[in-house]
Amino acid sequence: MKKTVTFILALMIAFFACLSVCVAEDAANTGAVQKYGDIGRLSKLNITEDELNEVLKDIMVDSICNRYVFYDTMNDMIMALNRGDIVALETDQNTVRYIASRNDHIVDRPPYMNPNMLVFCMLLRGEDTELRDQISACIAEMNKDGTVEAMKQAYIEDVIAGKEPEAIEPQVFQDAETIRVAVTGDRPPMDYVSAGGEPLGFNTALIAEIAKRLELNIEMVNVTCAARGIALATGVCDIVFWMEVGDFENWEGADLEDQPDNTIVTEPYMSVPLWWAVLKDSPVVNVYRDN
Amino acid sequence: MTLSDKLYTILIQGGSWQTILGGLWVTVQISVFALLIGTVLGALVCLLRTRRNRVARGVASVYIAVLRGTPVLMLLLLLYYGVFARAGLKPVMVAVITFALNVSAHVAELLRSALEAADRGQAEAARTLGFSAWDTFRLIMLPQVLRIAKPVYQSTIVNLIQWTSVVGYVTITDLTRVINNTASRTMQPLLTIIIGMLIYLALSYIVFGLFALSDKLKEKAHTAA
Repeated sequence: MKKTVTFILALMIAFFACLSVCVAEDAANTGAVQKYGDIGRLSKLNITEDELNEVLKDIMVDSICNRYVFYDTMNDMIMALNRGDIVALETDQNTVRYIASRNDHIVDRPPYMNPNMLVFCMLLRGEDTELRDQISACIAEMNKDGTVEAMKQAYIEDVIAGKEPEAIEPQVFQDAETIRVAVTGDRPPMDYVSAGGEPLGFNTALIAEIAKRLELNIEMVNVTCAARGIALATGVCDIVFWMEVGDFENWEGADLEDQPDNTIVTEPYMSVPLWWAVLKDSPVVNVYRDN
Repeated sequence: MTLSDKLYTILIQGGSWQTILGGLWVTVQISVFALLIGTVLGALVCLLRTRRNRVARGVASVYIAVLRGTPVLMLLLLLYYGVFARAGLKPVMVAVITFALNVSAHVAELLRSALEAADRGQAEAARTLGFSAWDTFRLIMLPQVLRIAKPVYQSTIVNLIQWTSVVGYVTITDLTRVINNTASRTMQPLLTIIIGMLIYLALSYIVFGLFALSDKLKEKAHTAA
């Protein structure tokens, strides 16, 4: 009798153990992951917040965050992070490192799930194919001769380390065409405004070098992040900097949902992982699954 | 980083105070020109609004209703990216036109209500005493209208200064834009915004101060007389 009871108890324990494992696995599969809050992102060029959340809804099931929330400026997003509206600020790794280097209470972390690569390129109006091809050729040349690498050191790594580069003074060419480039001043060290009020950053240095090689004059137009699309479409500027999740090596023909109609894309000039900035004392800091 | 270090980074380092002053100067320029043009235009609209001619009155009413009933940012975006997109006008010019139009609608209504509040009996008495229509307006009605309109006009100026903070949307680097850029560079948004607010507050109090000064000078002149 004793043996039978022990056997039944052992069976029951085994049954409940199996059941709990199954439930846990099922919970993981159906997305019953503990959610800590929302993720902040700078407004995209074309895709709205709702559209992005719809596209990512299956992926977000397994995320520790509920949804993406868009912000028009980096300042808005940092303040939202500080006040707890979002638990993570998601952007390119360089910008996140810059933010973390200037804020004692913020740390950088890879995204909860495997990080995607962001590819940096430029957008032009559909009719400017000649200019796009010239710029693409220039980018390829600069990637090959090491100019882009040297710029990364001077305008990204050194800036994050606290070294302010010299102001960028584009060369002036007599009787040459002037192209207007939109800068937001809102994504250091890629694109920001120096203490002296001049546009600075990797993107600015890159376009100044391209203009020099193509013997074009450039004019920097300070446009807000949210107004980039309309500025390009209405001719206020000719080029906007843009980044999208993608494969740097296999760029051609990629389906870019954020690309507005009637625009064309240059060759990408850089690829950086998507990264998170989180508060040091946030529970998210140590919650990692795949990384 | 101590508070003084943060303040140094935001206000002094690399000559950022000059950049902030530059932004402030742009804000002041847009505000002053928009106010001057808007006031003159507003007086003309008020003239139309108070005409007996129904068409003139109707046109003025629609003008006022549209401009007072729509956000000034929408108007700015419409004029900059739409109406004047290919006109080659500088962004600051478009901003001045936008805010002048907006202010004119407010000034028109402000003057109309001041005219209605003024004592018409005095104007009739002046006309009976042989004053011309122009003299009656200049010597009897205008001083009353100005006195009645002054407090609201003062608020309109302060509102105008604050409304101009949206010009960053059309590529203008005004005070708000400089503050935003500085906050992005230094990664100190809260402190930088507080500094920006204090500058706007100072600007508003300069306006209030100028009006108070003009009142005092007027009072002195009356006492001396």
